[in-house]
Amino acid sequence: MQVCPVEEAMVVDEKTGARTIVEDECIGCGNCFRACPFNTESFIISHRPQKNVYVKCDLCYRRDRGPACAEICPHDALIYISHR
Amino acid sequence: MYGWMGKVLRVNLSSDKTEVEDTSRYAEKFIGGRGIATAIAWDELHPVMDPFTPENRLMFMTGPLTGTLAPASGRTAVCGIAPQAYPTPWFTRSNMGGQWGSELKYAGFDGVIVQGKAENPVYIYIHDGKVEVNDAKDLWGLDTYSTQRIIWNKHDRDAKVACIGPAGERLARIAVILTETESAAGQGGFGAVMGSKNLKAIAVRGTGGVKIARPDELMELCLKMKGEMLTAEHIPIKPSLNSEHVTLYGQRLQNCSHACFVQCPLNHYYKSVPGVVSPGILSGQSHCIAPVFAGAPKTFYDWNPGFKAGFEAAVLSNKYGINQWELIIGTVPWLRAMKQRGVLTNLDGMEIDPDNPDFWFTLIKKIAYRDGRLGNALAEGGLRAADILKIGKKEASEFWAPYGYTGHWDGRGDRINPIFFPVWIVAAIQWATDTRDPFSSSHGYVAGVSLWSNVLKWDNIYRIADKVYGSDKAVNLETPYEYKAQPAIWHQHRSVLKDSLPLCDWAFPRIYSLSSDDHYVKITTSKGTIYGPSFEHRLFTAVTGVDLTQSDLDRAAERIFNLERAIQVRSHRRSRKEDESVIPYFEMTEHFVGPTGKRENLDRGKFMKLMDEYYTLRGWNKATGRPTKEKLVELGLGYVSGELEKLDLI
Repeated sequence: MQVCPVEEAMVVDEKTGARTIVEDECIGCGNCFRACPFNTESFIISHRPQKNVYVKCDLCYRRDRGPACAEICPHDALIYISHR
Repeated sequence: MYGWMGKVLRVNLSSDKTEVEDTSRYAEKFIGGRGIATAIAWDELHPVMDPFTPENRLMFMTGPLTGTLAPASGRTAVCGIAPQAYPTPWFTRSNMGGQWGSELKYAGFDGVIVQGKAENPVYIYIHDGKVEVNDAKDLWGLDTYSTQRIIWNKHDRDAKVACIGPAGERLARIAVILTETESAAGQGGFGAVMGSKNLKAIAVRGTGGVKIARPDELMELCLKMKGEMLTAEHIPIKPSLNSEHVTLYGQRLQNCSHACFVQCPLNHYYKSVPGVVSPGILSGQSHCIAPVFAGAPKTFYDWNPGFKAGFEAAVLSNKYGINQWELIIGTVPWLRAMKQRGVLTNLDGMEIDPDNPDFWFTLIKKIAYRDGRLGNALAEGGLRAADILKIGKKEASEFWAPYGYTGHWDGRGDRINPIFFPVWIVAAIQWATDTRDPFSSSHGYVAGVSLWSNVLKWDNIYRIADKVYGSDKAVNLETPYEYKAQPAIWHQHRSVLKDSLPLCDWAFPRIYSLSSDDHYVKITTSKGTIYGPSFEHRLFTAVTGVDLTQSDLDRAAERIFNLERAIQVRSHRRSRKEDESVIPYFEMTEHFVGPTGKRENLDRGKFMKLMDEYYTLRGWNKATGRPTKEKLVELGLGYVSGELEKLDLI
């Protein structure tokens, strides 16, 4: 978030606590992509060349039951806990 | 199109040309996977051809569910003329898990058809709709793990690679096509077909996705099924770890296919196992038959080279690309039996002794490199080896059933899976009428009934069988030779569906349950209660949006099965006579003692009546065992019956 040059392009989602990229605002500079220390293999942030925007997981903030990945995980290897 | 990507890639290695074909030509009639491959085989694999001619097609086919969230759907069918089939190589199928099929769909294709033969070794790299045929000079000769690593370094660490080892390069008829550490298309010997085309590997990388017609419905189905699918359908026990192996070797549970919810109890991954025969640390998956390299105490396979040496042998066979089932259930027991009877005592100086880690190392290397007269013969598979070496024919017939495949859930050659009378009568019907061992995709009845009878009371199994098959006689111990053709056919169709949609053979069809009150699998969704045998159909319609009914889908399976039979009839004049060649094998006394308290064998007269019933139910001619014109036309295969009519085979 510190390196994003567009103030509205990367925001904290109130409900989930996830840092999310707003697709319409993203200018495709890739600063976040390069700054993220966990991003060694594009796991966290990746590029969509069709639109020249970057995308990252938003923890399914539009979904009522929380992140789908945690819900479908058959062995509770992935769980969703509140950021507070 | 939802579910299907809509494109099948065809690569001709002789002319270096690639073409893209439309999946929709086949999709609704033949679903995917084994079904589409069979449709193509009818059109193209004729007249009769050798598996190693460039004209043979090596088909990798996924289905509409591959790459989706559908439970245990990440599988790929591998089809073509199979060199392992004995005495005549013929069209059949194999199947592999891993992530390869899903990745292929993310790259934009439902399948890859490889034909022709490259002049020099090559590998194919498919990435997001683009196809490269690259030189594989530096990969040729390498084992399967190194091949994958080098391709990752060259292209993309996330590429999924299906490749062959030295055994496939040398056209061993028991060579596999392997992906990751242990997922392989084994039976059939398709590794050798790949080798004959000078094709070392197919690597795929895709960043796309599969379009789902009704995502909310699929999500709901998957979430409900998740709760129900905590055990593999045929193994009613929960997975566990061995604490000693966890500490010493980094053992952990691991699934073998993309999107799998089930944790098969036999499926482990080992992070670090010290080598015994060769230096270094080994890691990899160990599933299915692999643990038996180390022996299984108190069973027929009671050798004991130790866990580490067993694991090393399993890894070695994966690296060299050799079929593990063939080695454990066929080759080694056969060699041991010949030694006991004084027919053959050593392999060019190495004593036949499965307790000795060096024996395994020597054997696997000999087969992979066709080393010496013995290695060269063993690489041809057991029955051919007996012919070439002119020894041990009688011993071989105890471990290999007709058509060149080692026993598999039959109570004879396969002496580890506890199947007993009368369960194997259904197996015998399926063996008789298939093109390979039926149990890569038809464990359904035999494994289900055998293993669940340890957990559930027979009354429960009778009650559930009555619902599924229409009569409890299908499993009733009191009625061994009644109502067996019906479950055989039911499961043959489910097997076709599993290979075509595709879904994992061990996970489906879902019948018995530990979690439901009456032990019959069911889930409750917003649309009502769904019973286990309908799961495949519900997943198919949610993913594709194609509203076939359950009976339409069963009809598609029947169509595919009939087309497979028609290929057999057209190319090999298959008839009831060939089907009956399995009878002497099942007339051998069974290995396990079942509920009757004694070892049984097949009653030929009663079995022949069951076969009559089978052909009649199938709508085939009872005397010849061939599909009738009416049946083929009814299934929308008029063009097939027309051609058979011309050849006077109907």
